[in-house]
Formats: sequence, structure tokens, C-alpha cells
Amino acid sequence: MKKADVPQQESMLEGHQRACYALDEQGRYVVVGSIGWEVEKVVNSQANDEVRQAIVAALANVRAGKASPLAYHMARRLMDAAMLSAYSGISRLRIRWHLRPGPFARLPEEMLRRYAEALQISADELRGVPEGDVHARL
Amino acid sequence: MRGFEHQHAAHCESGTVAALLRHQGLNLSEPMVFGIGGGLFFLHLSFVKMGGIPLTSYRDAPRVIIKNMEKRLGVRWRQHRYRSAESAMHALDGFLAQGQPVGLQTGIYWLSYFPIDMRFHFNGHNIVAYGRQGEDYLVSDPVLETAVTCLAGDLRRARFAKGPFAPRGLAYYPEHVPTDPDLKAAARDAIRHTAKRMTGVPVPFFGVRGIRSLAIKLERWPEKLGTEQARKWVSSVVRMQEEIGTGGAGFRFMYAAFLQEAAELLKMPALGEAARDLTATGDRWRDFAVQGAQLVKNKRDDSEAYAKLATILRECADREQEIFTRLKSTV
Repeated sequence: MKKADVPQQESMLEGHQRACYALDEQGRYVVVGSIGWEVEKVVNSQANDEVRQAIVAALANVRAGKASPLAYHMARRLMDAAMLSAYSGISRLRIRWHLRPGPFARLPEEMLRRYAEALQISADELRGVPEGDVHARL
Repeated sequence: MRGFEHQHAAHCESGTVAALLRHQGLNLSEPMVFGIGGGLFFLHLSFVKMGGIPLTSYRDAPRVIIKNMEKRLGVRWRQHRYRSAESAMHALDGFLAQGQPVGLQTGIYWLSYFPIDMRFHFNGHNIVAYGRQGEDYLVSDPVLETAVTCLAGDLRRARFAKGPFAPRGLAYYPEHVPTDPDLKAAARDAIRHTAKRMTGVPVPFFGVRGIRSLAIKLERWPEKLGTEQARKWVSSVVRMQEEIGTGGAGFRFMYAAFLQEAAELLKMPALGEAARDLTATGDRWRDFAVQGAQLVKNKRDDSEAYAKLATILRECADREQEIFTRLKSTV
């Protein structure tokens, strides 16, 4: 790739630059900053869309009474049960159980606190889901 | 103690190692560190899934570059892991108080100085902490163009991120850096090693064989997985190649830059030719990324599009096989 061919396209880098290796006029490699590339943006958006879809689905399930708020907050943190288990020290099986609305509603304060700590949100936030279509990832 | 100097790099591990060595007086370019560190590789493991997606990597395992600095240049590292975040942060403060910049392994998800859309749970991100600013930390993240301030809470969580490759607070710095290491021998040894790994591992997951097996599998994805899932998997391959700081073309351009430097160092024009050929191969990898992204974006699901991607992969495999076979006999 030549220096002049290093893409400079608007992207998810939000004004940051990525270091690329490209050839200068003498055919020597130099570092060239790139503000982004359409290709990177497409594949990055694909990954983030997927996260968003998971949040939308989790929120709908919570509202329909099919899942506990834990499902929604996990999705916002891009976590699955295995990862939340690694962060909280609570077994995957128990997490699956607590993803049901009933068992979750009966959780003692101490367990709520542990989940909240692992998810880096407040225990109050964890108890419910926000009003409206809050689908933004954390 | 001299101040720490930030330098923009393509890849976090080679950038961090280059920065730490430079601070101790050994000035090597990032491509040199990457090359001598044996960073370049390819693997596709369809049976190892991360988040349900098979693992594809354009480089060798995390921390290989750090280890090879010890093996090939005689750099001696001090490395610490910690039981608790408290002791890890306390020890870091101690190093910084002595003016010692420290390499840290972190989970990128928790580093809020990155744009949010780039933050995923990946625990192999290397950065340098080189000072404090009030409660917070002065951080040189090699993949950013300038040094940044990192919130203490972010750094703490990032150092104790959990899941695959959990850093467990890993902190490292060179305890001994040779003043005049034998770069020529190191470069030769490294090229030989990488060339062997790219062409000689007798299983179909690694090196050029890995590229070919990805080609075979990718062609069957739409049929086997359905088009939506297939697009997702193609997207993940392109992300590994371009989005996760590689310097372009899945580290191929950076390795070509290393070969160019090595050609001069060893006075071997053949390495310069290899650099040119690898650059041309890198350009083909970029074509792969462009067409892969088109497939993802336009939702063009005809099997022809997948066949075309596989053809480029096979071409890259053939070219790299030729280049690395030649390199084995060159050095």
C-alpha cells in the first residue's frame, strides 16, 4: 500500500487515528495516520448492531415477563452468563436461574449487590429496566 | 529519570515493548520489535469459538513478542501478577514513584478513553503506565496518536478484567536491556522461525495451511450456517485483519516493513524483494477485506461472492507459501 492510498474515511474512530504502514515516494515503509476506513466501519457496525439487537431482544423479553432485568443489564454490558460468572463468582447455573423474573425478584440484597458490582451499575438500576427504548450499550 | 516519550504504533504488544525498550536506551522500530518478536502468523481454529465465532488470527499468541525479546535479544523482564486489584494498583504506584514506566495487560472494554464502539471484551490489550496525575494515571496507549489520562477506576477494572486471557493485574518492565544486542543474528533467527511456522506446521490450522482451510470452510458457510450467520463470520475475519490494530492487511505490511529494515541490516537484497512481494500480498489481503465488507454491507448472498473471497484467500496462501519458502533458504 502506498502512502497516498491509506484510507482517510469517516469512521468509528471518532477523530482518533490508526497507525498504518505504507510506502513513501522512495518505496520505504513509514507510519501513516488514518482517520478510518469504510471497510473497518462496516465490520465494526455489524458487530455493534448485533449487540444492539441483543439489547432490544432482552428488553422486550423483560417487558413481556419472560426474563428478569438481569438479562437486559447483561446485554448492555456485552456479557453472557459465562462472562458474568467470571466477573461475579456466581455459577453459570445460578445466573441462568436468576435470569427468570420470579427467582430474580426474590434475590436477597447481598446477591443483588454482587451482580450490580460485577456489572458496574447500582443495585437500584439492576432491579428494573428504564422507561422507553433505551437500547444503548454500555 | 528521563521523561517517557509516547510513540504511535500499529499494534499494542509490539508498540508497548518498543516503548519500554526505547525508554531503557534500546531504540528499535515497531516493525523490528514485531519481526524479531516473531509476531506474524496465521491461524484459523474452527473448533475454538469466541462468542460463537471461530477463532481467526493473523498473528501469533499474545505475549509471544515479549518472550522472544528475552530469547533473541537477551532482554530480561520482570513480570508480576497479583491476587487483588488493591495490591496490583499499590505495586504500580510504587514502580511509578521510582520513575519506572510499566507495561500492563488490560481488558480494552473498561478503558473509557477509547471510543465506545471500539470497546469489546478483549483482554489482551497492552499499554504503558508512566506517571500519575492526581488520582488518575498517565498512560501511553501505543495504538493512540497521543498519550492519554486514564481514570484510576478504569485502569483498575481493566487490569482485573475477567474471562479468556484474564490479565490478573499483569505488570512488566525490562530489568536488563543489553546495550548492543546482536540484531543481525536475532533478525535471521526470527525470520527462519516465522518462515517455518508459516509453511511447516503439519496440521491444517496454522500458517498457509490455515489460510487454505479457511478458504474451504468459508465457501461452505452460507450453505452450512445460513446467510445471516455466514455474513457475521466473514465480518469477524475482516475485523481480525483490519479493525484490531494490525498496521493494515493483518500485520502483513508491518512485517514487510521489518523485512525491508532487515534487508539493510543484513545487507541482503533478497529480503528487500521479499518485502516487496509481501507488500503485494498485503494488497490482496486488503482486496479480501474490501470484498468481505461489501458482502456484509450489501447482504449479497450469492455463493459467487463467497467463492470470490475464497479465491483471494487461496491466492494469498500461495503467495505467502512462496515468499516464506524462499525466506527459509535466504537466511
